[in-house]
Amino acid sequence: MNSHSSHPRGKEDILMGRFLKNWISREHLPNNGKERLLNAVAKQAIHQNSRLSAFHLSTQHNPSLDIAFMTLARATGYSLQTCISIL
Amino acid sequence: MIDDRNLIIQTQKGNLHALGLLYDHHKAMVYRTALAITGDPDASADLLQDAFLRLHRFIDRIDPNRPLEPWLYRITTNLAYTLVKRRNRWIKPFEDIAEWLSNGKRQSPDQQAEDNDEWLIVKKAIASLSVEQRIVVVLFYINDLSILEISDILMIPVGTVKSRLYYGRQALKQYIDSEGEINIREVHYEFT
Repeated sequence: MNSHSSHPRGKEDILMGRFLKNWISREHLPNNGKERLLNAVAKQAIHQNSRLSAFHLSTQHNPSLDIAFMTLARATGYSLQTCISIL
Repeated sequence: MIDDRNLIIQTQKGNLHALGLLYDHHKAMVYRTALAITGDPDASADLLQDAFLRLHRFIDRIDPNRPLEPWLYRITTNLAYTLVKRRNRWIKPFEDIAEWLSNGKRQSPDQQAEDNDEWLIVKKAIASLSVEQRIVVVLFYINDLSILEISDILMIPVGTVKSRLYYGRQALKQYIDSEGEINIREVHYEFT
């Protein structure tokens, strides 16, 4: 999205923009957000009663089958045995 | 780098890796927008999650031929607005009581140093704006969106955007001028 062609900014606006960007860029991004998101998506899928879909998503995220089962167990709160038995 | 269009199509087909790449592309924008509006890192991290969970949930409604940013900005500002309003309603009265109870206490040297921190002053200045003004100021100055783009994202008239921006800018400058000796002109550009 480029704003400059439609709304040229004055010098004060440019300085204020730099100042505020500088402030916010000092804040660190959260760690492990991606892992958390992908696990939450798998969890959401199993809560929607689509266990196979959840497992499918886990295997995409973790190509190794045993890690996929462990991820699924972690995401759903079910034991590893339960995850293996229901799929 | 794979473009958003292909990643949206892949996510629509159930490719979780593509969703992860969309997250990588846009996480900084979503998180920093949320943080600038809410001022709360933990709540902003949760909001980042929520925004991408919604993207996954509603991915079939997303048109891959249109840019994703406006959709993400709309979700982020809506979630941040709800969070700030809810927090003001339920938590602020308790904070006011706590502040009133601790009013007579002297500040420690650490607290004084913290209060002198110019970035803390900026944070307080942003927080002093109404949430409606704050959202417009953040989208205009931090995200570099035009007035027209902000109007489209927030679905409000251009005149309203201009008015909120004008009063928000005035309040921000006034707060910064009165609270500290910050020279905006001396701050170097570091945003990436």
